[in-house]
Amino acid sequence: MAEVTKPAKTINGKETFAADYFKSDTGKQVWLDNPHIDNLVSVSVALGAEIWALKQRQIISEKLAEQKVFPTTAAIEGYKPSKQEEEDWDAERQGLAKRVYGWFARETVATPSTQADK
Amino acid sequence: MNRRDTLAIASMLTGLALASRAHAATGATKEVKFDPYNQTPEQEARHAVRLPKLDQQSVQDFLSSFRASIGKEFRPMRGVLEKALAQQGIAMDADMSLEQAWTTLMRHPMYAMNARLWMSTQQQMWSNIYAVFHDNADEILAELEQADKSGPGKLELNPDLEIPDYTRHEIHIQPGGYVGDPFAGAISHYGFKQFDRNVWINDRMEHHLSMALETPVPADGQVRRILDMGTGFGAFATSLKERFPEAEVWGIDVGAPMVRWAHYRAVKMDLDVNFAQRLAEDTKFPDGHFDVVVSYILHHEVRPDIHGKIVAEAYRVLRPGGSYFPVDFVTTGNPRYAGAPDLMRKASIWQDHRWNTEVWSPAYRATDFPGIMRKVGFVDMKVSAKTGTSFQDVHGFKPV
Repeated sequence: MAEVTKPAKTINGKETFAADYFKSDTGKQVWLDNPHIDNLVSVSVALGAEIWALKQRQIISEKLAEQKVFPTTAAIEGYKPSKQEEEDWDAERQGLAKRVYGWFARETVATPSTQADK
Repeated sequence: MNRRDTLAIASMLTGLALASRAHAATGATKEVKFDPYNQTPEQEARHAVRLPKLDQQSVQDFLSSFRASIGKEFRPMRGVLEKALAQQGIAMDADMSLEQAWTTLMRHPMYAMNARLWMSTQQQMWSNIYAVFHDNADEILAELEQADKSGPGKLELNPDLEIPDYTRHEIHIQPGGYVGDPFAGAISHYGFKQFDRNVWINDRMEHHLSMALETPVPADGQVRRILDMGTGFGAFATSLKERFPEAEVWGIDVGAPMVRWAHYRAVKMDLDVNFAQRLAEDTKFPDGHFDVVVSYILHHEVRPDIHGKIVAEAYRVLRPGGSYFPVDFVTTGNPRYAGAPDLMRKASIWQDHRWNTEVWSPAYRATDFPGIMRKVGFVDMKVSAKTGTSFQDVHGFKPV
């Protein structure tokens, strides 16, 4: 746990002011029996985030189009949502997470051919 | 009424009560009233915590909502685990160590998946923010260098400071921790928006502004100098400056990258707040210098033998009648901290301690923190839990 890491003191000649620190070993842990399964869960979460990022742009583009604003990159990046929109988007994200990842919360039972309940 | 409405009303009432108390006192320091949950467009622009590009922020928003959603989906897990443990002859309140509890529950696939998902979101939250700053390191370091020399507030870095080993861990698995990454302050700033959003809302620093409003002041209403110990990215300090614009406000932290970002942020906000790389247990300020000393989630990140030193230092630098407000998680000595934790709670504490690198948190929670404050000499103590959160509200005054 206490592996000492020495960060760069400068980057392109600019001082970083970073000090030595103890590197955590959490990133190396396998919690689901097989490292590939752990990695695939992380991959699936990362893909969900990428899907939302695309969907977010689509939602904003549609809002802009409704306002007769051409959805350029600048217009999309500069869009200021209302608080109601922020809450609606949060609900959409939670809904997406529930629909796609709710399967991970499935209660399983051990059967002769599996060892779901170890 | 939703959570946001409840928080807004509570905050507004707190603000009004504080304002009326201050104005009633003779010669009270000027206070500015604001509502953290109904900010003006100018306040929103000043406080907004958003990564530079939409896609970057969208990824963070997803991870945050994902956690909230998955938390609900896994609510039936307690019953499932109780049933599975009972089949093995293990009760949920079995006598086990924190580590044994975690190891036992991790044998169940549902618990292990829940743990994996939590950790995957934590890792991805940090790695995404890390990339935003490290992919543009040269440009951002140049901006920091420029801000280092700018005001209105001062920045004091101390290359000779002996950084205690207990502060060198990657707390919350934040890459490099609080001292080892050049952008630790920035990474922490954006990460804290996403943390545990079921507990607080911090899209526009609502949480820090609320704490500033809740900060108790001396009975005479005089607030000329304020110190924020373990200031991190400086949001409590800047929020207090917004409440008390005429006060001299200082934020100190062990991490140079932390106070650099805190200063950079204050410069951008045009707030006259001073930041210095100093230790909370050895602030170097004169005796009786401050009217108010605060900290936010500092104590659970320090070694157990340091709590008393920090509390004693707060006492030393406060003037008679000064107010000490250290906000942190609930500990023993608080009436809300009752009963032995069950296996799920123990496993959660262990996972947070061992795998989220909350190195000192279990020891802190076992501390009678209010008792430490009393022993040092604080009086008129208030000890309660903050409703709906895992924080405790503990404050006291230095005797007049």
